Amino acid sequence: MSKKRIALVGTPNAGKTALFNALTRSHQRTANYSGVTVESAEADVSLPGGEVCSLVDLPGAYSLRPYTEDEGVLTRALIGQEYAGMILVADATQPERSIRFMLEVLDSTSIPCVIALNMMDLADSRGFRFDLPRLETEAGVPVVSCSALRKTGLKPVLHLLEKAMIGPRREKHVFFPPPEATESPEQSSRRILDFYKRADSIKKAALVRSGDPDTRSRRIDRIVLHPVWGLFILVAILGLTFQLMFNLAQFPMDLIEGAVSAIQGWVNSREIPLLARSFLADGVLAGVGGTLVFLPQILILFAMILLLEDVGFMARAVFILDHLMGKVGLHGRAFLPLLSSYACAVPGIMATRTMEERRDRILTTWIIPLTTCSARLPVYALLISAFVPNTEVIGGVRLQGLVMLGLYASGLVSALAIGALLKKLLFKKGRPPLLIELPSYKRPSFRSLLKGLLYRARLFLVRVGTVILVLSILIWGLLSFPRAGDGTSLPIESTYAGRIGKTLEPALSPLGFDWRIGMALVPTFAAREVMVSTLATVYAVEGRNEPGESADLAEVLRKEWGVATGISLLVWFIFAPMCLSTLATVRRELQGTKHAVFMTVYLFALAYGASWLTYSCLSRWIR
Amino acid sequence: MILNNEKSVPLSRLQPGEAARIFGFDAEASLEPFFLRLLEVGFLPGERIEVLNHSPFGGDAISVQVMEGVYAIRVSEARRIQVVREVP
Repeated sequence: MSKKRIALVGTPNAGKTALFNALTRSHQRTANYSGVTVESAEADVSLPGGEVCSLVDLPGAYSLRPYTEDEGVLTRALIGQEYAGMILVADATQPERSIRFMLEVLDSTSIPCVIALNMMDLADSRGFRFDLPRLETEAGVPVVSCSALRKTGLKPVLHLLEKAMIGPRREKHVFFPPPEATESPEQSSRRILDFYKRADSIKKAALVRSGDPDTRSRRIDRIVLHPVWGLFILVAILGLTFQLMFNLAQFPMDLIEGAVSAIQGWVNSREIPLLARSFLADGVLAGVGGTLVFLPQILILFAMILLLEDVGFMARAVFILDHLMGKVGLHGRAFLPLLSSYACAVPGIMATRTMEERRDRILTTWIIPLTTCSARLPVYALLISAFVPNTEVIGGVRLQGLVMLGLYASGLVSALAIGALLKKLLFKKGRPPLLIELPSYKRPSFRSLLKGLLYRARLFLVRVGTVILVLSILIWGLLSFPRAGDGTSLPIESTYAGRIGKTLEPALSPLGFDWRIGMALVPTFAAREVMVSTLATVYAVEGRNEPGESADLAEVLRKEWGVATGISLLVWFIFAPMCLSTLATVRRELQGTKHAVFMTVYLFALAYGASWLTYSCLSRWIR
Repeated sequence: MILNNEKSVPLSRLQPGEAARIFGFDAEASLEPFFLRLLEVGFLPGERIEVLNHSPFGGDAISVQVMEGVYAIRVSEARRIQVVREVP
């Protein structure tokens, strides 16, 4: 029998995820609801009686009348009634809103429920006093005061939930219209006001004393949202993020690279058949190791994102940037998706779910592939070290670093330019309205941060162990077969990969790419970072270089290609279509193959055009 | 609390630091999904509302405190929310 599922529901910023992390052990999975995979977690929780259930962290919502796609997920899940129990997280510092949401949820489902009145520590210090027994009577379900951050009151939550789950099902008071059967605006407005009236009477009865306003957050906002200091802080935070991503990540990256090449060396020293040795060292290890190297960078970026979210800064960034982003047709909320896509486009596209308007989601998704995801980094690093002299430009600033910065900037600038263009061409209507809550500043929870990072790390490692592994083996196979009659390898032109490269060569030669590059480009549509290991394999298989040594690879490339080719390839990578997992995400999230096809076509056209222009100019000027 | 229609001004007129009572949304606005959402987060007639900050760069967003929450909305929407200034 499968485990019983328990829903964790609540308004945004009520500390739902913190409670989730405090209640569960570390085995998180991506949850699945009604055909849609949502980037939302599910993990085991043990009830005091010993039963192990599955706790599902459903997206937060202000109401069950869905306004964003995220909220629709919650409504569908609750009406589907597929849960054996439910923990309703209420924010003790926001009693009015919490009680209203509580009433709405309790009215529309009969799932056994316990209310976790969270952030009780904060509410206490601000002077809120509750009459809990009274609140319990009014709600008709058990109420437990707790603090997810300080881990108080967590045991009673589970204990009372267990009791509620054994007991009889609650009665559903009001029939809640399913989201498909739309209610008229007048009805909605009446219903909302009715909920408020009831919430108000409960609040009057159960809230003994209302707390003081959050003056601390106001004081912080006076600096963070200041016209001058606010911008300064935002730029400093972004600068710090990228600085950490490139500098702090260097050490663990070197460690991973060192470990992989040590294992490759060990494999190559074994007395096993040549083909097996090549399979392990050049196929499996080069491919998997080449991707594994990004783990530190991805984790650093996500650590910053999670931290900024947790503290309450992200919403402020949206507020500060909304006007600027509006100038290029983007919604302020596009900030988080765009920032996430510097690590990887897939979570970036998923983060667009929090946007209210579909056209905002579409526009943001369309330009996300132009932000420089971390998979491009090794390709940039290789090509820059091969083709850009590391001369000092001015006072310690070197040309290579500047070019790297320029590549990031060109990605961003073209994303914004294309956003503005697409908006002009396709969406002429005005900007949709903005509504974002600026939550109280909170002390971050390091347990949550750690769990969030572990979850990210696991998603990444699964990808490395499945997609990347299979592709690496496939590419190795294409590069190693067919073999000559006596079992030795043929010249690379005669392998399957070589034949593919030769077929592509006529189309790519205007860009300065020969058949070897064409061959290496094919697998980049599965995963861009594979370019480096493929080139390493290509030149290693050709016997010009030892496998897996990208430092030497840069030298080989410098000898083999002209500068114009190298730069043209760099430009190609700014625009070239994203990897297959991005396309699959686009298709799933926007529910349409046409978006994925459109994006592939426009990015291809852009990449081809820009590379062609670069190559034709450079090959004329640089001789 | 008696709210007088004649004294109501658009929320967009308020300066940071000024507080008022919400009178209501403009007639056509009140049925739009966005304003229903405002109602849901607490923009109810009679509720106290305080303007806290203007967004930088000549920005067109303001942050307001309503009930226990602080929200950012744009001036274009604030124009359609009628409020009655609190007399200090």
